[in-house]
Amino acid sequence: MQDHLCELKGIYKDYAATPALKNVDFHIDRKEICTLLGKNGAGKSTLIKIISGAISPTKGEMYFKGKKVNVFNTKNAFEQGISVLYQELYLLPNLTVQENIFAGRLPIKNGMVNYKRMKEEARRILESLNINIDPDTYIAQLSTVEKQLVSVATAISRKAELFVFDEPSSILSMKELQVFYKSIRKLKEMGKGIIYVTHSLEEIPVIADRVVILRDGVKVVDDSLENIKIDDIEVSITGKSKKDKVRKKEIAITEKGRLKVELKSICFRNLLEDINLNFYENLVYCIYGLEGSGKKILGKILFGDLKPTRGIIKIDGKVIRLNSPSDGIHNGVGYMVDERANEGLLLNKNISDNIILPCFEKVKGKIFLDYKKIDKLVYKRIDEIGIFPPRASIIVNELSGGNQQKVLLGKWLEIGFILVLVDPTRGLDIETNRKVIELIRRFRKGRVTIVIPSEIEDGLAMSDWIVILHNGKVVKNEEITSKTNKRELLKLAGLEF
Amino acid sequence: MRIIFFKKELCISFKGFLGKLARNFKISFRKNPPFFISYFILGTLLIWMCIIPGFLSLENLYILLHRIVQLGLVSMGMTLVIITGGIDLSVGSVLALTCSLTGYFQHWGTWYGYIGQGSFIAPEPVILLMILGAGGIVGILNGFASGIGIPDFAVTLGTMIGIRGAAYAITGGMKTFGLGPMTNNIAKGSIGNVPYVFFMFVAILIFISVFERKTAMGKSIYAIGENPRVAKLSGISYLKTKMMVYIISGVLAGMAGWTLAGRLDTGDPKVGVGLELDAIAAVIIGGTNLYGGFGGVEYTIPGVLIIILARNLMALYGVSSNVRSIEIALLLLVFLVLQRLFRRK
Repeated sequence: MQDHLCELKGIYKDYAATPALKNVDFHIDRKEICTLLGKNGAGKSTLIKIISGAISPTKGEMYFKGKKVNVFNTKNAFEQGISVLYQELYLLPNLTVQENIFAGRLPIKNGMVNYKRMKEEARRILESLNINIDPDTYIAQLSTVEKQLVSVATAISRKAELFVFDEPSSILSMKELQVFYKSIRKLKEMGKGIIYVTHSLEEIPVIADRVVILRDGVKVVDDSLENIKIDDIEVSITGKSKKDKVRKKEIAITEKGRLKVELKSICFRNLLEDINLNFYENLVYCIYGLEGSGKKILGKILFGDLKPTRGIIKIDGKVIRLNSPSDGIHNGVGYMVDERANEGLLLNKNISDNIILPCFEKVKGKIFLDYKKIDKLVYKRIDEIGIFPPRASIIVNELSGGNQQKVLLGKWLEIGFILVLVDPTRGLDIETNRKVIELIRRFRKGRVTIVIPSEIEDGLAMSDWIVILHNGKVVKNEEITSKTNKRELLKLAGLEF
Repeated sequence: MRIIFFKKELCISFKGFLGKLARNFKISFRKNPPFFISYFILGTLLIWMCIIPGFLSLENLYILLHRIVQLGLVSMGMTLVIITGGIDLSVGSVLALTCSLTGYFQHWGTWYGYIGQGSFIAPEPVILLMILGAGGIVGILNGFASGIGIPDFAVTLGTMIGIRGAAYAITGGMKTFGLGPMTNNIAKGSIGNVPYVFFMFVAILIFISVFERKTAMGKSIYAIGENPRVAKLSGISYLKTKMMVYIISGVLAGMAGWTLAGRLDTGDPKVGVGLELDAIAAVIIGGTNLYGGFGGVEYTIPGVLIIILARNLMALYGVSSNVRSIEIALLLLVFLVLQRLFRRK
């Protein structure tokens, strides 16, 4: 027992008679980074919740630092030194970095806060992690990665030994991730144990020492990185052989339709400069760029959420003024946001309410809403998209992430003849990811689909045409062929290797 | 044999019926526990009241129903505002304004204190429309200001003070006695001892509860209350929806002011102090979410009944009116604790 930092033995967990974990053994050592992989619903989050003490296992034992854990609650685990860093961070945005690090136990001298000592200690901790942040800045001014790092620093100041990262890569851009990895390696050198949950296979060779894969509540792989082929990982996660993989080329042949949208010399403050783009029907466009390249702003301009400072938007050859999202919707623009919980879905309403939200006009009777029409429309969407369980009355909050994403897509299919999809594959596992890509390919007929992905692989997999933005300018605008080189495109977008 | 068989069948069907009822009850309970808690307490209050002498007297019932109409109208508007995530503190003042305007318009152009029918805008339906319009105008003010992003609390706090001031300024702080025949007949009259306005109230209640569930505007109200950003990105106009609910709230408060003026046969700028707080209490007791997005007019009605009945009960026991507010506070406390215990998961 002494050699492992944390060990779980024969863990079972049942949720209302459906097993989430079946006889899982898991251990983590000091100075080790262990990546935890699996589909949505494979049991990763259940395992993390058990480690963090949020839930107790139905059967099985857990040892931490050689001692058996009897009481499962988060406070206890936290005091023992287990720190879980979720995607939503628990930082106080209107306090400074140092105040956040020492929140709840500020150093006191003569009844007053000892700012001098606090600053010194905060700086020491930040430096030990290679973080270059002034302890006096306010949290609200920091970028996402800096916030993540500050919460790591907070955990260190509380003497945490085991760190669990819950999919940090899904909210960080590529550049930010590089900074993040550096700090994680520092953590490792400090002798901490690290569990790193991720969906993206590319991270594994960069960061992992050991790979653990869960599938349907069972551990299928647990081996050090050297003994594993990256290609096998994907098979282990999905449980299907590689032949099942849908190749884009099989469904790719697309006829170019008529010209639908024209952007003429669009400018937005100093963030977009002179954008000229034409979008044709039936094609899927990928607009890629790094953070700050203006790709999301371009999407918002198309939808009417932002007004361009200069330039003309033409839809079907007519000049259109888009002053608000409702103008965009009247002109047939659908906008699928990336922050599905905050901006995309009404989480406490059911599937039906969410799907009809942008298209009341279509389901209206004379005065009242026509519930027969609503049912027809909603069930048509549920069938087409394959939402599970297929019942319109289910509260969206109770659906899995992948299904929520499908509802969000379904919301726009009725009215959206110009679909703007911001990061449609965010936070999805490989299989759901593929399904969403398939859906987008399937629904491209008679529509202009504009995808604004955060990762270029997804964008290339689902699109016919690529547009690359760099500092608010179009640097590349061409068809995707088999010759398209990912590395070259990334270089054009401004990424340095 | 036949009889036994018949009985058995009856038994089974009765059991099935009970089971169905219990299941429906369970589902509804899970949907909104506070609603059921409030019905339970309402039932207790009613039984309690029936054994007190005086409650069932005709006069008491008449006044009780009038009060229910008055608070009910205001609370319905308040419910809609609260569903959008706002709050309307100005309803009490609007009630006072419209109550005093009813008297003021009746005697427009005559000397203050002189009681006579000398109005220049004599036809009473016109007066009624003007009064409802006054409520609507306050609603437009509130709705516009909150629709462009000023916090609802601040906006309506402003109009609450301002409109009360306007009511005092217009009437010079004086009561006006003697209203027209239409106001007297409709607002005061009754069938048996159920006042006409009670039927009007029930009609409005049915109308609004259908409106909020079955129309696009009603759905938008809920959407905006739950997440304004999602609603905006789905093409729902925040400004339009906010204006709508505040106008409804203002007009209903105006209507309540008119019925009050009719019952008292007086236009009085001092009425309705603290009414907005009673209305908010009624909404909370009914179980409408104070943060918006969940609730409904039909939930608020038991809340209204509870507040009115509890006050009446105290009055019948002879408790001083100085003490009665404490009881409402205790009731509210009990409800909030129960809501916490049975909250939706």
